[in-house]
Amino acid sequence: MSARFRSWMLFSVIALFLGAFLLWPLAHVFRKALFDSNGFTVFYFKALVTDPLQIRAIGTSLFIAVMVTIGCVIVALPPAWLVARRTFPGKNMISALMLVPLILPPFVGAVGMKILFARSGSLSTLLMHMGIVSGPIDWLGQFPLVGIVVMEVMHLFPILYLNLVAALANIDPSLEEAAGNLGASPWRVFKRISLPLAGPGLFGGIVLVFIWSFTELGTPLVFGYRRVLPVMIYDSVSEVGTNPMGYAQVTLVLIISALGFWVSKYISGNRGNVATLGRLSVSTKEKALSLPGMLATYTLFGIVLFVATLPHISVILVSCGKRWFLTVLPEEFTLAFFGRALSMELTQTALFNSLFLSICAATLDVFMGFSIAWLCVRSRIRGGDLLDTLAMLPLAVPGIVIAFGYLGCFSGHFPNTYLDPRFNPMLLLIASYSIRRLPYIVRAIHAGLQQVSSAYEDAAANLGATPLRIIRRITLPLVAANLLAGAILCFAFSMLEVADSIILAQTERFYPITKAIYALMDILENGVNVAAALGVWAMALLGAAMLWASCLLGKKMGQMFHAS
Amino acid sequence: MHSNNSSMIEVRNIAKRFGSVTALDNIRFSVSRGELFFLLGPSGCGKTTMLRILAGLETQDKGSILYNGKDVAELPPHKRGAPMVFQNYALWPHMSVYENVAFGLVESKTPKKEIVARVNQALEQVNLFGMGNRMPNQLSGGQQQRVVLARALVMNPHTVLLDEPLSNLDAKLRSEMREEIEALHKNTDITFIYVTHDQIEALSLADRMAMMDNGKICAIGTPSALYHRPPSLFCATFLGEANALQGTVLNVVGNMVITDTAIGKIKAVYQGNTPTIGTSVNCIIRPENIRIDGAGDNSAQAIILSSRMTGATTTLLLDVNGTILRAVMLNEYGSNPAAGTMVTAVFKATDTIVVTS
Ligand SMILES: Nc1ncnc2c1ncn2[C@@H]1O[C@H](COP(=O)(O)OP(=O)(O)OP(=O)(O)O)[C@@H](O)[C@H]1O
Ligand SMILES: [Mg+2]
Repeated sequence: MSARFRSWMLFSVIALFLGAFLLWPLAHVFRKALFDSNGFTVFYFKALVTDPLQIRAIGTSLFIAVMVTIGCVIVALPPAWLVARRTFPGKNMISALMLVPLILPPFVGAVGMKILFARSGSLSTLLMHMGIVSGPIDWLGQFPLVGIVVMEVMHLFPILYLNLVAALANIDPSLEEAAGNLGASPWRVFKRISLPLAGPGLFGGIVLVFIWSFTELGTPLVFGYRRVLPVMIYDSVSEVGTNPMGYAQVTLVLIISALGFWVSKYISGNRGNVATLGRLSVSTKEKALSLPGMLATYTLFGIVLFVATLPHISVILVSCGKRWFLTVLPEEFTLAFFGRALSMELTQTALFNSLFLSICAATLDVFMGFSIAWLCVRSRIRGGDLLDTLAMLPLAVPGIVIAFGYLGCFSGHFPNTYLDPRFNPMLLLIASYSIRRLPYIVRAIHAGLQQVSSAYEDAAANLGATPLRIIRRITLPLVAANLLAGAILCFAFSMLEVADSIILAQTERFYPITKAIYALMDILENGVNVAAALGVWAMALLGAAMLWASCLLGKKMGQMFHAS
Repeated sequence: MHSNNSSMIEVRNIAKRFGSVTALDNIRFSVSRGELFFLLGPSGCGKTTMLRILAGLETQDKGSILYNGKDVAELPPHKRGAPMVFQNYALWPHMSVYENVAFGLVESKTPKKEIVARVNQALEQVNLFGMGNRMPNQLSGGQQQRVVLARALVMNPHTVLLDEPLSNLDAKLRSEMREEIEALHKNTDITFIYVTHDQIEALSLADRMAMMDNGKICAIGTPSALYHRPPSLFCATFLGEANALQGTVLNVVGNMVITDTAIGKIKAVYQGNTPTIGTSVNCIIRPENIRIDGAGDNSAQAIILSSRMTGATTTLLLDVNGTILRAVMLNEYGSNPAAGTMVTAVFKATDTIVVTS
């Protein structure tokens, strides 16, 4: 079996999967948007771009996305550079803490933040006590956009941070030293050498954040801000049988996201292919910090981490606080809610379901992500780029759309099978989780592969390694950091997946953790507290997973990039 | 040991383009078993590309490659058995020196004991014994280069492809490694194809060499033949130093040519096709073949412009009616002529070669 044939086999398997679980449901959505009983029509699109309300919503969504992206770059860049280029005591732990924002579903965090910043919440009370303001202020009601942007930046900046650290760690430090040696100050070196070389990683991260915040549903929903495109789509989903406007909106989101993606691809494409070559320098890339530098560093990380963990803190307070109204902190504390959050059958099943689903999805994603990136970057088959483009499509597809597509498509065609979410949603949940996270893992591995010179693989082939052995012994270990980063992201976000969980899992037996939290908020008298407690358990679990992965990553990085 | 003359590697009419760049154009040569064959040419002339095609890492647009008489078009890189010493090293950064060197043996499922022994032997061969546990980024450039060499040699291959293997070594190490390669060449049956832009390396080591320019081979032969009887002006000037005098062919007598040049009539020899009378040619004279005493077939009055001692030899710049000739002579204490002296530059007809291109 020739290598080419094998590549095509792999290509076909993945294309088939994406065709069935991505294209087909999307085609279903498109068909509903572009065809009514009289055949083809652009009526709904016309209605969309002539309605000032819709235009406002689109503009607001774009504004949020741009602000969130800028915010994330500003927040992520200094810590990423410090971690990649300097040593200081406690670096590994601090670096791991940077991932903490990822371990909380934004909608759960938003619930906590709502309590902190509400009219009767902690901030108002605190400011009133200090005599700075005279009466309670409804912060989120006054500045809803600021709230949304800050909330999303706090949740999303770690994505950019991870990307940046991985990209910076892959740069041969002698390139930076050469620039310093030729008279460039550290800042100039960063601007002229490190940043351009980190290009693929940085751009990859920026597009992720942009499109994510552009299609983010949970945060504005919980904050009650309905004049953004994703929420309007969500609203039209509920009247989907009668009003095809939602489908037109989805199509528009798709176009804008694709455009953003294409622009970034064009820009990073122009920068050329950045590969580290085989001539490794003897230098170590990490320098020790001076004392003032160290103090500044700790202050920076302290501020970033404090602000980023505010939602977590607030959720923890809700989970163990009794009677919290017009006081800065709850008046009484209890651990009872934690026990209840674990003793209920609903929550136990939900935890198990989520773990199972997320591990399956992450495994599937690592396999597909690596295959796609490899087919695209390394094998010379024609369809590689096509597959890559296809794998990026989910970036532009909000979870609700996929979930709704599944519901419409599969329930109708395969009733009472494992493809029918009403019968058993597990398979479709794995499919939707993995497809939703596929772009991130492909991006991460893609960037890694691009930065690994193909000369390493050539050398292995030249010394007798078969293509499969080359992948196992050379390619995989060299992109392990990126692979693992991708897998962690995939696992964590699958655990936190909201929209498709809520739509697809319809019986309690199949509830994932997010849906259980959602359900808890309604059904119990202290539901919010139990829900928060379950959120805290989930946080702890995810935190442990991430900590472990990050330790592994640190060791791997040590092996790969400097002396061990 | 050149056990037989069968050609180990045959390269037939290879052509390769990268977009609009013609990297290789109709390359043809053959290398016999155990031969140390050089590809010599300036940067960018296509040497690396040729090696990569031999290793199967690049596919030619046209032509074919034969190993041992068999076309290897269908053989993927990992089955060609011709390890390469990469110009940019390509040492795997996630593997130790030992693991790097052992890589190929592991792939060929060699027993573990044998791997240990052979890797250690290979490391010893390149003066790196005891460094097996280091990571590549803990090695100097020269050490990395030697690891790459060991990584290839440990395979006991039929052919080794070397892409500028000594380019990053200091002078002493370089000559040591050169001797090492020479010894390997003498004591084994390995066929070497050795790419370099360093003519000294090629002249001192090669059994035969091919000179490349701009994707084409412009000459193939032994170092001595190419040096003393260069087939073209490029060949003459790229390989060592050469004085080139432009002239017109006046007459051809036997294997002698009389040409008319700026410094007068010159008697020279030619190779290959007989030059046509009246055509424009170049007369090549190596600097060490010009003397300033005695008599010869060709002579001209000259003024010494400068005289520079460079150790064993002295380089003179001679002005003959405005034409500058470079002459090199062995040093003898107290006897070097000073600048400004009138002398007669003399050289033999058999040291003067006419080239038409
Ligand atoms: N992958 C490629 N894509 C495009 N052009 C290439 C590629 N590889 C080589 N070339 C071009 O082909 C020509 C020959 O390149 P090659 O690397 O073989 O040169 P070389 O003789 O090894 O040079 P050097 O001595 O500098 O290593 C050069 O003009 C080079 O720019
Ligand atoms: Mg080269």
